[in-house]
Amino acid sequence: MTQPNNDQQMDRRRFIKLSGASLAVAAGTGLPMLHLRSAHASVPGTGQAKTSGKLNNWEDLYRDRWTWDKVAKGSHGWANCRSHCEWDLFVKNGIVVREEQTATYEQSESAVPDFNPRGCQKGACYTEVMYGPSRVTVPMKRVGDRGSNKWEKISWDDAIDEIAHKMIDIAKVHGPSTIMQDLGPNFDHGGSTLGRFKFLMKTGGTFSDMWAEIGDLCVGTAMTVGFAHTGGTADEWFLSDYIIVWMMNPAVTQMSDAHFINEAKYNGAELVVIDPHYTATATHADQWIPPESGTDAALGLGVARYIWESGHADWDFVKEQTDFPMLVRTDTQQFLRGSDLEEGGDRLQLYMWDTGAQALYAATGCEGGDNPKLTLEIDPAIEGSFEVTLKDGQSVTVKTVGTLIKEQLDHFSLKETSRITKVSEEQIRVFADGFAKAKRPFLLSSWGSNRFVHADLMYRTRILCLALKGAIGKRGAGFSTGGFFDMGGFGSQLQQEHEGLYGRLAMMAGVLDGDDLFNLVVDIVKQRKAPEMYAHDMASAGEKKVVCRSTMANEYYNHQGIKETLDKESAKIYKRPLEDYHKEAGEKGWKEDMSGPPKIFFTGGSNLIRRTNQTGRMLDTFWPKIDLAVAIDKRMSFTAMHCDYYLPAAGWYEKSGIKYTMAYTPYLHYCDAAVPPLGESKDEWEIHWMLSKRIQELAKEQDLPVMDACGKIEVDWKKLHDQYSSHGLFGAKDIEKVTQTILDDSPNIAGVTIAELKEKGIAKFRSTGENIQPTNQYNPDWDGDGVLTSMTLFTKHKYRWPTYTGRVQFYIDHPWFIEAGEALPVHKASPKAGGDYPFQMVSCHCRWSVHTTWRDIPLLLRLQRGEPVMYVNVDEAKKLGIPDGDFAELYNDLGTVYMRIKHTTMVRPGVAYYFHAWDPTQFPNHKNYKWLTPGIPKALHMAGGDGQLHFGINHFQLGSYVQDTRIGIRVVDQSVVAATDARPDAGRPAVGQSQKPFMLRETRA
Amino acid sequence: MKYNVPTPKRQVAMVLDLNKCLGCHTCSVACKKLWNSDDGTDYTYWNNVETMPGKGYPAQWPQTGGRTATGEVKQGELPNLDNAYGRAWTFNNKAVLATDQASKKKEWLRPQESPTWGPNWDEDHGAGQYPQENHYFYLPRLCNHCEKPACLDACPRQSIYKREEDGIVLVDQDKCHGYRFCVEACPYKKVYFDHQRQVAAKCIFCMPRVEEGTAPACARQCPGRLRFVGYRDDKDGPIHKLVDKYKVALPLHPEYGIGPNVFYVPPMSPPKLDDQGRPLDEMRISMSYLENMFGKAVHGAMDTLLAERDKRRQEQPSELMDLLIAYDWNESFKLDGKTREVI
Amino acid sequence: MKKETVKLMTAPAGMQPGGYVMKAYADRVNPAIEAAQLEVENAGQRWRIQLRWACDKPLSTVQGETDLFPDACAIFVPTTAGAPWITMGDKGKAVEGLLWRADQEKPMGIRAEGMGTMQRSAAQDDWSVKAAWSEGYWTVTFQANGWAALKQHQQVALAIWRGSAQDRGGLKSVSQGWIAAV
Repeated sequence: MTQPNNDQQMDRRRFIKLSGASLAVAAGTGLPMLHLRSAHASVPGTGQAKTSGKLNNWEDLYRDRWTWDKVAKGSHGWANCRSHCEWDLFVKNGIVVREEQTATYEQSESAVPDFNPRGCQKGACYTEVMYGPSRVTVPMKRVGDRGSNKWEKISWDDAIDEIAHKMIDIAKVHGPSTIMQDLGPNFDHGGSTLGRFKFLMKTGGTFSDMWAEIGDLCVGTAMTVGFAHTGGTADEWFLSDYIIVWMMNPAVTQMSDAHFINEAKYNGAELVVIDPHYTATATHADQWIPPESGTDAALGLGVARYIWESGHADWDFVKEQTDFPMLVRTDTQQFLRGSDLEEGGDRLQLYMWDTGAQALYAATGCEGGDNPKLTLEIDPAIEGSFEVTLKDGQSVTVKTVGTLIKEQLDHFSLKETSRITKVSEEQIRVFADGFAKAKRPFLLSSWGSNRFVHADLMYRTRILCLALKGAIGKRGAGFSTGGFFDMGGFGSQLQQEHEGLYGRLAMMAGVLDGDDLFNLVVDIVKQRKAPEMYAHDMASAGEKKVVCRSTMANEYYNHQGIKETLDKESAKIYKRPLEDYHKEAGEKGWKEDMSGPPKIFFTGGSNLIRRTNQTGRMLDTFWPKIDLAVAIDKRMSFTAMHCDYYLPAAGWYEKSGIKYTMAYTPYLHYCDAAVPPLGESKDEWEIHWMLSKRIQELAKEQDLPVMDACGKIEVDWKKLHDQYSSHGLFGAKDIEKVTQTILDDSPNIAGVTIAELKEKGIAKFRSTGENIQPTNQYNPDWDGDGVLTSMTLFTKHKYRWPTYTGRVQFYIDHPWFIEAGEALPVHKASPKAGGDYPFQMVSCHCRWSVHTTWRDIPLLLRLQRGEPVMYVNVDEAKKLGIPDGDFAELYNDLGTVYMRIKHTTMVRPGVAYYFHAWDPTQFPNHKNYKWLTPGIPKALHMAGGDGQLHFGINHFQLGSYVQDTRIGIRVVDQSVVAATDARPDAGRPAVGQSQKPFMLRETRA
Repeated sequence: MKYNVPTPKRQVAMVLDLNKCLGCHTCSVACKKLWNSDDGTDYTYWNNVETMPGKGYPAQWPQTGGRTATGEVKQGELPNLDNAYGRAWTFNNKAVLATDQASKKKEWLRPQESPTWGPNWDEDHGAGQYPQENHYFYLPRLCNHCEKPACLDACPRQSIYKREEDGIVLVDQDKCHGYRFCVEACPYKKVYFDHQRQVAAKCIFCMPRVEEGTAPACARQCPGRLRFVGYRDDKDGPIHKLVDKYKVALPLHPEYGIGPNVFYVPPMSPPKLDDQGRPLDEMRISMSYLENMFGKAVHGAMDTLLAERDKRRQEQPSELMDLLIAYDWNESFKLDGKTREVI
Repeated sequence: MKKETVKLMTAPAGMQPGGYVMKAYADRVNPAIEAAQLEVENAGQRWRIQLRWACDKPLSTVQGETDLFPDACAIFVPTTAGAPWITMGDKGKAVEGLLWRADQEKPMGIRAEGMGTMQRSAAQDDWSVKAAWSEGYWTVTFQANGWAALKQHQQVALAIWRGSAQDRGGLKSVSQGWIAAV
């Protein structure tokens, strides 16, 4: 082989260098991308450099590609996916060239597979987003109309100064709580998000939760077990012998954990996938059960009846852990309460029927009881009808919840269940029989399972099936809605203004008044609550007292100009108009509204206008009410396009952070800054540090008075920066120190240092948390070792559930529920939202993006079709006369949009199926399917009063639901769509010379 | 084979368990980011994932390869970009980001080439009547590093060689003149053409990594954990057990007769339904389809899989199931490091 | 000046190294180009060699495509007496020449010692090629200054590759032997 000369060597080096940089250079958009101007020198950090030797031949060319100057540990901090994965970030010539999973997780125990390597194709190419086509790295100010996309570069100082001035001017007139920050869904648990939230909190702005708005909040779970988010580690799935994937597609939406399901099959488990569509997960199923879309509650009720009658129900569990034995008055349909039986009786004391004594028994564990334990000293009746004498001497008939459920289930014979669901009796029987006989059934339903307006009913029926089997809070059995490891330090640091006072104590001292403290002491002395519950309740109380809050769905209703549409849609569900519910909830304090329309809007990471239903109304009615819209983002999102200022945030490989801490793996995932922030971008801690500083300066200059925020708190912007920076404890560049403080202040991870995390990337949690988030703290047995089984506080330690019955609660006697006929889990047909049209438009989280992040990068678009597609069953598409790949017109009462149709055999006829989060800019006229979704709210989710039925961030709230949307699909002349294009034929390179058949044989001599 | 290919001292190999594939394409992206980000290989996926039944990538590769069903050499086809591979489309991000939202006519983000085909065009399309028989599965593919490589035999310049130390098949790009007979001849269509450098380019089985004992990126980065890497002759390793001991891992299209060293555990699938929606005793992916893909040995492989799985259902031990579960992920990869002298 | 119509034959696939081409292209018996006009002019050290052949579908742009081959031609000469033409020389009996490709501006130098051994290199700086396609014909003119082997042996052979027929490598139309250059 000939030796290359020096020039050739040089050429090769140049070639390699260019290939590393080409991804960045090719991504140029013409927007200011100053980060590309110069490559940063390597920054000190972890990881050994790997260099190649001489480039002697072609093999060495390739060897040289697998070299690097530095490796940093990182993750995708703000990515709103349910997974978390640690990556090695390879830096070469100052550019992060690629990423590969670190993969150093250990087996939780020898009985289960380990978590390695985690990751997905998106994590494997975040670098394409980081240097991607919509990245903007300089501060900009709008110079044309909103949405005109006419910007000019502005200095950081000028941007901060102008925004601070405007904020003060607006707050003076409208009050600080008209500052609205779209609370999520993009956030992490490190210093950057802390800065963002702390700024909002200290300014007195409104935290407007979107968890239910996007349809992801497990409201049905909150109703039934008292909290929306629960679940253990994903390796627990492996221990099940009967895995039921019901309204979830983990092969697509939870790639890094999905292996446990397929491995459980090899371990002997049966895998059942219930989905109208033959999903990627269903391809591996032992049973694929395709019900009519939206009939899942009926299927659940049919299965529950089968289990009940099978002789395999766990009645001991049912008696102790569920509300089956609780007594309900047949006259009022309300629980029999202490206040019914005697003057001054506690209305929160509920009753069972003691079969031994043949008498009423005051149930322990319910909200009004003094005993927080569920342990039964009597044998209560599960079924039965009894006569009871009330305090006024009147006699009423009471029935057990069990009896009411039984009566309900009687309607759901296999035949009737089959009629509704369109699943054959035989298939239901096979499924139900397997369920009944299983030792450890495990249910997997995703956040996306909550997107029907009656999804709460579906979830309640699914939990009913599990409860009958006693399959909750039991190793290898149960369900997971996605629990969290509680980063207590995040919550307490959010409020900290001083050094020294930490954690739960600080929270309580900060928020409790005399009455609360007294009640707390009484609860502790009387042992009325499980220790973990104090924190939970105090957190709720604290949130209520110190946080201005609302929900996005609520504010849309108030300000988006969609009342009329939603009232019309809601009339399909309830007799009373939606407005009635809003009014009553407002009057009774069950919901909280902003004091007026939002005036100052901050967006960062999330993409409000993209995700809103009835987008047209968002743009023409809601958005113009905002006087100042600031995007603090790493990329020019559709929402950022409509803002007044764009402040460039550092990307996820450019700042210290912690990927949000879901319970699927028992590890904290650290994000290191592999390179400094690109261009002029800054991390959010610093941005809000600068902003709070300037606001404080101006407030002092103007002697801005103390302001009232939402009637709850008083804020003094003259002290804003002092509070934000904890009186100078944290400087502008101190994001790492802030993140370290969050760690120090989180008891389940405290002691871990950032220095260690820079080396290892991950650290194992020692408990799920003992702090303030109303998430998952109910796992007292887990101390960092072994598989995490959730909810053993109740099932093993017999403490009451955080519901007002104190039990897994299937009967809800709230007047609204009774009126709506939803006191018990029932099946209700999916309302025809948007009008009576032949297709139900159903979405799934996407394989190829996390919402709009990754949606616009060529690398991944090339592995799709480059444009949004609506999946339609091939036979139906042919009947409609729409060829594969053609644009079609999608329409309903709300309007018309164009979208390409993709033929498939996976989708159920009658359904138009899409993988969500395509950006409006990817559609003709920049109008996507969201223009067609009314987003019906479910009025009952504003119910308040007892126990679990109270508004709370991440807990229970009004949402908006999209899966009920109906559309028509019709052929459209392709030239009509093309005519909407600003330059239909310009700028496209000629389609090669190969518009020719693949077969070339005939052209040969 | 006309050329004499010496038997390598060792042969590195890979097993892919299709029962664990998620169709997530992390393998493809991992591979592409590492090796194929240049202009000339923008369209190539040394590793790709295709939805089967489907046309695959490049389109119709089994029909256009260089072997007959009996392993005879036949003239192959050269796939083109628009109709077979899919061009690496360019996008108008810049124009879209500059669009005035008030303007009546707007450009939307889309491939500028108006494509009608791409490397994953028929994703999740599948075949069969819903809900009775509709089905699909994912088939990840890479170079098979064959015993008798068709590509090697196709090169008049002898630019392709099989490494002595590990049997990896490589194109000497210093020697290659870009004639593309190898592209034609490979019945798996796993040799590509770098249209900028005008040379053939193919999967190198992550040779620089394997030399240091690290598994190829497609295998190590696979979140589905479906890939096993090791040497054919390692009796304690996963490859030998899956391929030779339990015979559940099979080469793709063995009838081509060129001895792939990439093997697949065939996919199980849910039962078909009859016209009343009742489950049948037959899997959705028909055995005849699998036989066409993996040969007659697929019947035995499937029987073994089902029988061993039944053992676990009865809570009896099964070495095979334990192996496929991959309790300790690191055990999936058994490579020797430092096979290359570094100068 | 030498001027001649050279009848071409297809390079026999059966002679191609490796097991694929010889079988896959065994049916290629007719040349893609049947004949070419050859002109050789010698003025001192300076050689002008011109080839002209009929080509109804010229193919000169292959950039960015995977399945296209450019039209091309080569003129080559023995470096020792008895170097075989049909096999592009033999071990110790090299042939050398000039290669023109329709997608490139400059000619390339070529040298081979038998089938599949051709090496390409940059041609001498003052050697050039001009090519034009007009009315169904390619006209390709090489200018070579001081070509010692040609001067010595006064023989040339030629090969033409027709891109539209996917000619490349050994798939080509060649002269039926050495042709006297003067």
